[in-house]
Amino acid sequence: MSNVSPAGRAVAERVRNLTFDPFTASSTVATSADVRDAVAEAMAEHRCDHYTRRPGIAPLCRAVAAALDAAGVAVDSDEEVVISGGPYETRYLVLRALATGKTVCLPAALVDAYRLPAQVAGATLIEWDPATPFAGEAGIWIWHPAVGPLPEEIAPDAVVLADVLDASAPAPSSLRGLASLHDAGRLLILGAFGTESGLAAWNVAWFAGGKRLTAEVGALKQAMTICTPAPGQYAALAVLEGVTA
Amino acid sequence: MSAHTQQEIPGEPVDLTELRRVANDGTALRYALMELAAETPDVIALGRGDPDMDTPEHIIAAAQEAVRSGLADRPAPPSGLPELRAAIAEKLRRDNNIPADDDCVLVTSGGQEALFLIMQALLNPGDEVLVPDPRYTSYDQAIEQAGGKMVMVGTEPEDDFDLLPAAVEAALTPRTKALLIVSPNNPTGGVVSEESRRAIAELAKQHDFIVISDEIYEKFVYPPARRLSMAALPDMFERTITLNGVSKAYCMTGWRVGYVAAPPDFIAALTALKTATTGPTAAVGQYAALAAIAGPQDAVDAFYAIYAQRRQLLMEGLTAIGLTYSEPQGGFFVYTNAASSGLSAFELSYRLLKEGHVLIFPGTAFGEKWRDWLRISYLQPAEELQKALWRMEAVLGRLKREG
Ligand SMILES: Cc1ncc(COP(=O)(O)O)c(C=O)c1O
Repeated sequence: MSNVSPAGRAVAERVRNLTFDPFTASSTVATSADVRDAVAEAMAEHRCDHYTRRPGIAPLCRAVAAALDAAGVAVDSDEEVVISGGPYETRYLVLRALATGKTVCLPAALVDAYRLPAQVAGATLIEWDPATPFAGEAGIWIWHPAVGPLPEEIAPDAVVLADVLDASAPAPSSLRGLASLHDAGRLLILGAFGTESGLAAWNVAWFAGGKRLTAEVGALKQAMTICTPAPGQYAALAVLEGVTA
Repeated sequence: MSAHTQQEIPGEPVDLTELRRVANDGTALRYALMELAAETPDVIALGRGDPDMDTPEHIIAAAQEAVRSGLADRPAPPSGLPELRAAIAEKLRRDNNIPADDDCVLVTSGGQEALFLIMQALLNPGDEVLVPDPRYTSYDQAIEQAGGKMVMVGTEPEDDFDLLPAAVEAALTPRTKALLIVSPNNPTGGVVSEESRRAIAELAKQHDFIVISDEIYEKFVYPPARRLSMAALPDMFERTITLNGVSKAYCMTGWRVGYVAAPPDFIAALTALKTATTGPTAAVGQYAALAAIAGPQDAVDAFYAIYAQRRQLLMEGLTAIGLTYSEPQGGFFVYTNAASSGLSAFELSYRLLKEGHVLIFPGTAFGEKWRDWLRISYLQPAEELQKALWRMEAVLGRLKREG
């Protein structure tokens, strides 16, 4: 007699092979009093009760678009910004929607963050070392501000994911070097609302970029969770309003 | 190029042509209609399954307290807040007779994420999932993403949309991995009868398939129908994956909290998957859900009474305007046959929206064969429902005159 249940026995291969990684994220950063007040008010006014607009509440999408504009990439807040359910969900969504069966080239610093989602999404990760020329072919490149400019050998049709999830709002002009990729519809930027904002447990982040890419990942996002929790969206809005106040 | 261009369907309004083009699956069709409705003045929305009433005040107060105390800033474990898992397990034992311990529960970002994770955790490419037709089409994407294959099991109005064991048995193949049961059902409002459930449970054991039981509408079952959880039947807990959440029961769709209950080994695998993909569910919503599940239930009783009254009003109104339906036994939808209008459900819902300013989803948003059917949700106050019925009557009258 085994004590494995029929449901346990039915678990798919992709999950059996998943090395269980105890979740290590812990955050001691607290939200500010202003953010707490803003969220409590949104709750009191029953603005958190219902599914939100699919891509996220409009003022938050506009605020993200404004921050991106200042950083050097102009996106349409209506169709090119989606509020997602936090950094983990965001990374998994983009890999699942864009990278299944593909090779993804990424800087060493991000390998840990992408290892498990890549395993589930069926994407192959290759470390990109800026010091050595890259010989293979990758359909997806993940860029991070700390690694400098993208390498020359990037394929002309490759998609670039600019992962600024660990940054605060993108710094002014910090993404200007990626504007031509955006014009070509090959750029998706993944961002959150700053490690100092205290939103780690609120499941809110965003992705923005080319219309086709945004729509593709956005459709999967909607299929997976319908929309991002409303309280986190109001908290993020208060964070951004605090930054610009 | 799409096959449906404006030129190819002479005389069709541009919006309708555009709708046909973008609405290439049930989910896309529902969202396209909602977008059209958002631009329609004075619209009465009887479309989306989003309860119109407020989240109860004691739940709001608990969430505010979690925010003010800073608890909402602390990430919960990937499996969920221990106190919420315990409250859910207790609820399952008390209300559903499901023998669940705390480690049999995983908290998710809505029932939707639960169904997505369940399919990812269960299906190998080519595995088949039996799905009742008509269906909540979001399951399609979850199954497809996992490489699974949907196999339809018909449910019919003459059976009150019961899921018949004979139909399930006929659809079984050596590749059948699971059967999905949504009861009360979206879109039909059908509730699977006790007799069917017991027979289906026997089939599951005999043919060794898993039952996924979506019980998200469980709070709203109208007598003589009775709710009964699959996992409560003899020897079924070990092969049943129960999905539920707070969205529908407590008017909490915006908070995004759902859960899965299953044997601990399956929950451990599901938790590993959630850890690797989406991480923990937002803490703030979990404190709200804790207040909902562990707190007083009078608000749910009040919602129930309101839905029961609206359901009656809608059924009487539909009969008066000549539409037929099988009496819904649960949930907050009436699935009605509109063949008498002479139009396809797709065109009819378009005309109802454009001319009557009433948003109703066509049956084709829930399965290809439901061309004569409409799903009407009664998630509007009684006065609005009455007004919607008058508007529907006016549009149907005009169609009749047009012949
Ligand atoms: C049958 C069914 N299951 C699950 C869900 C998911 O709901 P939520 O993600 O809000 O919990 C819905 C929502 O409409 C539904 O109709």
